[in-house]
Amino acid sequence: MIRSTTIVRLNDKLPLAASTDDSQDQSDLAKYTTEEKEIIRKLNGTSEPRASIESGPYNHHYLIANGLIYITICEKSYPRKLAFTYLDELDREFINSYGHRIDQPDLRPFAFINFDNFIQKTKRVYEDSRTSVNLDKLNSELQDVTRVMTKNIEDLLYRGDSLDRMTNLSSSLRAESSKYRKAAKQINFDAMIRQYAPVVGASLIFVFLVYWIFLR
Amino acid sequence: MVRPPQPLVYVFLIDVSVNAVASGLVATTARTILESLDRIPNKDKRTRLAFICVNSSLHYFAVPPPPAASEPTMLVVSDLDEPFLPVPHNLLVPLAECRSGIESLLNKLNDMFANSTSTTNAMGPALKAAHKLIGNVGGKIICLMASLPNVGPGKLEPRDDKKSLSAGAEKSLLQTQNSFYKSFAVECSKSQVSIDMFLFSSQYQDVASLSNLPRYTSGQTYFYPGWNAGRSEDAIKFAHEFSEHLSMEIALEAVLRVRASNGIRMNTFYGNFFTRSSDLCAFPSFPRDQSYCVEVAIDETISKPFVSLQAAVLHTTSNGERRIRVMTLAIPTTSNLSDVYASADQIALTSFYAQRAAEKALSSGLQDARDLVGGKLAEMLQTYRKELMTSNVGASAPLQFCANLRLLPLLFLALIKHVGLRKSAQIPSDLRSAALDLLGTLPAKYLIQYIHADFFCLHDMPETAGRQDKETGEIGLPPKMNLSSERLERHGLYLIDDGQTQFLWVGRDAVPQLILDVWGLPALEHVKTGKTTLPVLETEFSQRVNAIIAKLREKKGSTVWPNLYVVREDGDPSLKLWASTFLIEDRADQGQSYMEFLTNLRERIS
Repeated sequence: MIRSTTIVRLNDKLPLAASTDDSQDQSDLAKYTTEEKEIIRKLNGTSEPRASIESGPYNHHYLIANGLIYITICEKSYPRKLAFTYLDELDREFINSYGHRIDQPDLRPFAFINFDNFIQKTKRVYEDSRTSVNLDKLNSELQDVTRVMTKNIEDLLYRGDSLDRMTNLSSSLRAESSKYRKAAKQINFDAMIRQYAPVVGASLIFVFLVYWIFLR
Repeated sequence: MVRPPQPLVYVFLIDVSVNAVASGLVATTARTILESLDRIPNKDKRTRLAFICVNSSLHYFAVPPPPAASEPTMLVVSDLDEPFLPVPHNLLVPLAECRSGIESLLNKLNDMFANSTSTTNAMGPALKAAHKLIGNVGGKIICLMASLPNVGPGKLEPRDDKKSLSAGAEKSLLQTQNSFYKSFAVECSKSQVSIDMFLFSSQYQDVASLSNLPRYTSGQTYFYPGWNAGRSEDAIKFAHEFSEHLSMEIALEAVLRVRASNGIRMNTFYGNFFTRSSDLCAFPSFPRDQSYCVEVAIDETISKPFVSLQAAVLHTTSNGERRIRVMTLAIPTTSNLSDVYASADQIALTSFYAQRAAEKALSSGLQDARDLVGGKLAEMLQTYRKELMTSNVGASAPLQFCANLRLLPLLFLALIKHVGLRKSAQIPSDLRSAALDLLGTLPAKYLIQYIHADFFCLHDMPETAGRQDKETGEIGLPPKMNLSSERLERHGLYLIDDGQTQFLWVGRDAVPQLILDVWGLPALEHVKTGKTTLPVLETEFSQRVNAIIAKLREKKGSTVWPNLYVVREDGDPSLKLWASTFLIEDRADQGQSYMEFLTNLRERIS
């Protein structure tokens, strides 16, 4: 369950919007809202853009984007992926509605408190982590991962394919070139023979005549 | 900042027992809320509403947000000992988004309970449930009741035995019967929940106990005795006041602190709020039609020529901005008593003593409150005479007072003879409690009118009265007269207006022409007395009279719509008696006339 959400400007930690939590029993959150303020204080431009901090039965998830910190306190059992999807959705809508005004130097604290309506609506949608909508969202995330993975494999496959082709080509080249070498050798040999055959023949006949004349 | 600015939250607890439905309360409430939906402050679109109907069980209404195709559903919880919320969402819904769901719910509200036969009213458990619903955010709970809460915590017994209207039991009748109302009020104040009470019963409704809730949570009690939607004046009065009340741009989650220069300390605070930690006043919601008094005590000798007082209110506006409003006042000091008397303001003194008297009446009884007021006046006169009168004054010397305070005895007499404090065995305790509430919260201008009614002579009014002034466009009013029956002429037409009620007094010898002009009837016998609406006729006189009445009814900074009663001098004696109690300079049953009062004062201080 998402218990509380706050949106704070990054550079001067000015709170811009927050959920006015209307679920029951918020008294136990007092300690965690103090921790949340501590976390916000420590964040700056070089911090990790997305992180989860565990604390007792709750987790603090935060997202830094567009010069803003979106931080939420959720129960430990709430899926992280869903929490970050929630923060991403808040980010998109907030920048859409108020993006051009967040850098004004004279903003009041909680100047965009009427973003609270959207936070409540979105929180309601994400609240039940077992609803099919959320499962679909999770699935689509997973599918996304597999699609990307598939894409890589295809690439890999094509790469392997061309490699094979290369090997084939090179082995065929080798075969061809050895064939040609043999052929060339053969031709050389033939040429040599043709070149030297009459000489060798004449000398052979001369040697035979000499042998027959002198040695009869 | 401890938490983000609170949104405006209204929870309506509507009594749907058989009394409420029969008197038309449920139908009128639903219709009025429906018509006022646009007027409820909603600039930041965060305003939230919830509806709970109460009879012998609690009926919650879940309004699903727009993408859902379903209609609002009713959930009934009969467990009154441990009231719980049946669903976690959709009970408290944003007005901007769920507007159509809310409208369809309001349209069906009366029909749903049209056949209700339940006579029980479980308002105590309903209040606890509403507190659970909005305790985390804070907001305003508006209770509309037409019967006595008679089950669960907060159960009240009818205790207005006519015999016990004698002096002794009077005091206990003005205090709360059940400690639930005080302890729950403190709890609500802590979670920034404020409660308003709208009470409509024709029988005893123990306003004294019920009004504790608004008193300590900075709400307001509205009392409509014997209300019935069948009378159009009643319906108009309630609809107007309720609509104005809902459209007030109240501030939320407010605290007030008053500081002053060295040597000055804030002693006591009067008004509808809860005093936290001796000088911090907590207002879960800060209305715009009440006034507050701070009693300042001088601890050390002040030697500086000026002292400064500063009041700061930290609040959230109804559109979600957290602000501090600061008011600073510097007052000159003097060591001369005559300067103090010369700079005293009689209206401020009257307001202050009205608040003190109201508080005293609740804590120690009506006689003590009357004695306080009378005693203080005598003290002021005596000090004036002793310290400031230089010439020798014998016992026969006239009563003397400084010029700026010359009406103070009249105002204090008006306060003593006011229905809230008056010595009388016939005033029902509900009426008294409601009157004491008003004495404790009305702003100064309306308080003075409440204790000293405006009295106009209509048959002899000047030409400018009742007609629109060419320059300012305002309707002119006739001059006000002293509240004495010697002004009443036999043939005259008079108007008495105290801000909460208006009386149109017709003398017994009124000329037929007058009756024809104002009512269109041939003779006085045909004029109906009691709560009526004046017909608007073509005659010029009727136009003027109606214009004056309308002008008196439009009040800036007040939500009240006075009822008009027609009183004939030869008509209903009880109505006539009631109207003549407003003529305070006269002697009344157990009350003194103005001359007697002054004579007694003079004897007292010599």
